[in-house]
Amino acid sequence: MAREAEEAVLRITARYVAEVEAGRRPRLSDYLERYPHYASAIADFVAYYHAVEVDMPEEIEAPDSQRIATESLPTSPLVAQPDDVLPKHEISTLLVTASEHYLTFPALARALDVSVDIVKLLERRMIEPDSIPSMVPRKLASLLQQSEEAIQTYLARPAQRDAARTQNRPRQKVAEGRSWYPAQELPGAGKHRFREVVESSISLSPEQRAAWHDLLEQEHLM
Amino acid sequence: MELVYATENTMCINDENDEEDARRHATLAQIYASLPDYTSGAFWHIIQSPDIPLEVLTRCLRIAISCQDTKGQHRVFELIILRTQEKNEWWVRKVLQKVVMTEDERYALMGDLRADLYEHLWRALMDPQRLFWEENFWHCLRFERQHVYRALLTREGIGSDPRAKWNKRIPRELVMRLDRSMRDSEGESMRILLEDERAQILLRSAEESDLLHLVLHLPEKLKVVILLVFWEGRSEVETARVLGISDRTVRNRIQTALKLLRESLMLEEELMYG
Repeated sequence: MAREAEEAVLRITARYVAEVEAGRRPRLSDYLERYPHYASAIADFVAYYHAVEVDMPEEIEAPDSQRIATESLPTSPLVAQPDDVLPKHEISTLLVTASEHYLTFPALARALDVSVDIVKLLERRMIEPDSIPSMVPRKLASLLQQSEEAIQTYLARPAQRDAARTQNRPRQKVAEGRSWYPAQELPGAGKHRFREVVESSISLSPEQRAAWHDLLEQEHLM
Repeated sequence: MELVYATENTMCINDENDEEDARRHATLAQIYASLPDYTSGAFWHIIQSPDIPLEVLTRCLRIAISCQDTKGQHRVFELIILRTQEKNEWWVRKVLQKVVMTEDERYALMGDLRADLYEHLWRALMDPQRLFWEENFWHCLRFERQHVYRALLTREGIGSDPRAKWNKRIPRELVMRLDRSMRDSEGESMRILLEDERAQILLRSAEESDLLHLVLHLPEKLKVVILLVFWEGRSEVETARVLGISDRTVRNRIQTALKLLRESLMLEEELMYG
């Protein structure tokens, strides 16, 4: 493939992956219609991506040499840090528990039919537990092979503010993908209502948002 | 030495997400511009931080190359390897997960895959014309891994060799839909003989990932059609419209793909049951 064509395919497929990682379901046919010259290369990549790469964990434990180097550095704002003292049967973080079952944030987002930014808010217990539809902890319990009670307990724990903000250090891990979403930038220091999060997330599709509104209404959480 | 991040690439794919790309590019440029002078000790200290994006490290590597600083090149490349090796290891294991082989064979093949991947990575990073590495490192790495994976399929004959080692199982739904598609389009039953009981056992245990693995082994033209019809659930008419080909061509390609799948299935059975 010529250099210019390869560059174009890279940019197009990067968009596709970004959509998947945001919890959306991009349609291959849309991409093929839009970029017919690169149809074969796009289809080839999409098949490969879903067969091999899509489940790659976002965060994989760093090797020893790297872990030592990072000890003195501020922690990632994207992922809740494990609490220091926790009984063994309790969930330390969603990500840690999910990774034990080979699940990533995008995979959790797909299973819950939400966007990755909302999963990250759940991870940091930034959402009022009583505003969350009952389906969410139920599905999480099933996916993470935990009791529903353990999930509820986790979500009810105090919110974890991101380390970077509390230290007044603006940080962005550009290499590891988009860091901030509007849903994470809701005003106020406390937890947010699930409804607010759904409304403010730009990563949710209109269909997903409508479905969540229906569910919230059914459970009188609007 | 002045550190200037690569200017915005002129490639345009007319996407509304260009704004997002521009923001990302601006952030990377800002981080790059904030690095101390390349020749200073502070520069080499700071780039060790895991907070420095890999895109910026790529740019640093290319600066080292342009300065003919071999030691610097190796140092930055080592940092990049350290930052990516866990994900690459995960990928190596995933790629070989469904290949049936002895432990010795697996060990050797894992080594080959690693060596190929790092060679590809080194070549790509050394090439200053490959600007997208400085904008979206992880995606470029994903693409490079795809090349290495495809080379593995070709080199090892996985998927194309009749005596393939790949543990292929044809998804039941795929074959049923292929069958139905053939009957619907041709009127008279063109039912392909897939009634074998042992084959059905294989089909029942198939998963979606098997379909995708299988699709990867098909020739390009067949691959696109099968993906649209059986993975995305498009009709033949829709598929024809998307690809700008006739319905008849879509049906022909499905038929050819089915023939290949049937041959794979028969060979698989032969390998399993003798």
